[in-house]
Amino acid sequence: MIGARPGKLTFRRVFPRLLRLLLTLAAVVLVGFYGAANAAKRPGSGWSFQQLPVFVNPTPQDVRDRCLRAMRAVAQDDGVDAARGRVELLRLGGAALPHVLPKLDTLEPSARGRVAMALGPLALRMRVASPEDVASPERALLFWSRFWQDRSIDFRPTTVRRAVERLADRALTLRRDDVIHADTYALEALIGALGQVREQADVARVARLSSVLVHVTSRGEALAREPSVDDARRAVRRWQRLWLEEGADYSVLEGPRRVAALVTETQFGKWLAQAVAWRLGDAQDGSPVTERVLDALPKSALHVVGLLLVAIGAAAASALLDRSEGLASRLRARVAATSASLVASYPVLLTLALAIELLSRDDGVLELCAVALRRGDVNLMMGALLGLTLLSELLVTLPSRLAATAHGSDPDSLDGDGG
Amino acid sequence: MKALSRAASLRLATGLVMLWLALGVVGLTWREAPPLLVGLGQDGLALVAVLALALMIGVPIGALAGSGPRWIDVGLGFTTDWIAAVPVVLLLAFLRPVGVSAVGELLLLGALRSLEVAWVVRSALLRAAHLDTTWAARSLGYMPLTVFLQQRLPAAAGPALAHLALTPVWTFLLDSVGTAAGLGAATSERGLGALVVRPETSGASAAAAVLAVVALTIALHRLGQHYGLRLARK
Repeated sequence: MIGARPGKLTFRRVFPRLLRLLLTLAAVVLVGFYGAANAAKRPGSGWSFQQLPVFVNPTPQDVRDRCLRAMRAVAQDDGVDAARGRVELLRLGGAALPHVLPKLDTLEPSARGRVAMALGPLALRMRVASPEDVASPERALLFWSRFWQDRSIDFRPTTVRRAVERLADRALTLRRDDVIHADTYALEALIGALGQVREQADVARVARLSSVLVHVTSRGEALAREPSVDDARRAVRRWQRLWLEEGADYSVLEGPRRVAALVTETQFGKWLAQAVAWRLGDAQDGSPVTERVLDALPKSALHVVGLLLVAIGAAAASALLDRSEGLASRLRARVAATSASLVASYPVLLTLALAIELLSRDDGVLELCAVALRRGDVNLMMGALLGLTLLSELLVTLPSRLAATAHGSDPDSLDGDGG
Repeated sequence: MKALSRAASLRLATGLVMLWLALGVVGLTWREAPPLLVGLGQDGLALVAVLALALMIGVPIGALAGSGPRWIDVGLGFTTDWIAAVPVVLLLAFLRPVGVSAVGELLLLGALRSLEVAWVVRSALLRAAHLDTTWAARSLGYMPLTVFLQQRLPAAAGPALAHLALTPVWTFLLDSVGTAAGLGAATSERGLGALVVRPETSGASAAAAVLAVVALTIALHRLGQHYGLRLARK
């Protein structure tokens, strides 16, 4: 029993409740995500992380794993695997060079030439070679050997970060070329330097960095000649999304980062990252999840409160209709028993509220949850589920307090009838 | 006169439950059975499984939570909190990809119902403890277990049986809402709940299905009232 007067907020009352709420949220999110990830397996769900494990990734793949696999495929022969390997090496770009070039000597001469030739288009993209330099396997091999002797020192995180910072400050051809020479090795620094877009100076910075990003990834579109703040924000988000989806392909996972990748390189880790960065992210149709959930919550709250009041009202009415003695105690007992039953049957009450939303075509958060689960829309489903959990936890306090008053326990404490 | 009508209603309730079970067996065994009979059979099967599990698991857990070690109460409170946050149809849809069979789904439903029953029993026990008039007897040396078995548990039987009597409506609701929401029926795609939301079902069939579920619920409630009172009187 807690000594403070009823209703007063004390640490001993708030802390256990908060802890239980957090544990409940965690449990609901984990189970909900498992269902959502499975629902997202259907075609057209738009969930980009289907290829990742759901909760734990025991073997997260980084740039080293990917480029060495691609190098081995290219070195083998000229079949389909080799073609795929060439495409993969070009996609991984400059980020692959610190792992591929030092390994070239371990290959037999013909394989070495094939790999050097496969890296030819990359040298042109990086603007470090002319077409003649990489025209034949021998010349390409010679070029890459010299390149790595001269430039390997530039492929260090601090050097690249400094080059990107200089480019972010001011656009000069030389500064731009420094970053382009590092190619995708500078991707992490480039996306990190995009930062937040608030004013025109930020727009100019994003425009400078964005054009380099388009060049090194060969993806996306350059910003318009005079982009607005919104254009720049959208561009930043596109690049951040790319990093979220493929960031590990361009980074080395070592030490604590490798340990973290056990969770971050999973579907759940990716969802969590975008939920934190972009306020629960966007639904399949591109609408912001937070807004849709906030719109739907009051409708569901109304349905649930209505059902609770009907049930408690019916219990009270049945006590009033009973003509035996002791009306007050009977009323109290019936309301308390019904309230305890309501707390226990709360998921059924929510199911009933869902039925009301389906019948009335009133887009509450319960229907939103069901629709999102059916479509495999992970972001919308998880956003709706979070909203629903908070709403449920808030509204269940009404019957649980009524039930707790019957046995005289402190409704604020864990001795209460739940909730 | 009052006693006679009570006996008649009890007999009627027993008859209704028996009729349901008989029709259900016909629905399950006859290959050409109409959908309504099949639904009765499927719902009957689900009901027996869920009720049996709820009684076997829910009552002991509730009894322990209401009077046993505190960690059981806290554990039950947390689990109820967690389950209460999500509608059952969604929870089943989340867990369905685990690959549970039809029997597995029934077990899951039974486990969920058990938690509900456990919470009701636990709450009833706490209420009974609050109104406990046996302190004098206990002070004279009666075993707390005796008091628990003879006083408190029978007092909790009424609310628990009343709660259990709602199980037909519970499974019916889960099946119908799950089907209507496109998430799949909770117990069976051929149950009464799924039958009423199917577009090809006639109004008469749907009305008969709803009537059957309501009648069974009332019958179970009457039986629960009777046996709950008998337990309480003991």
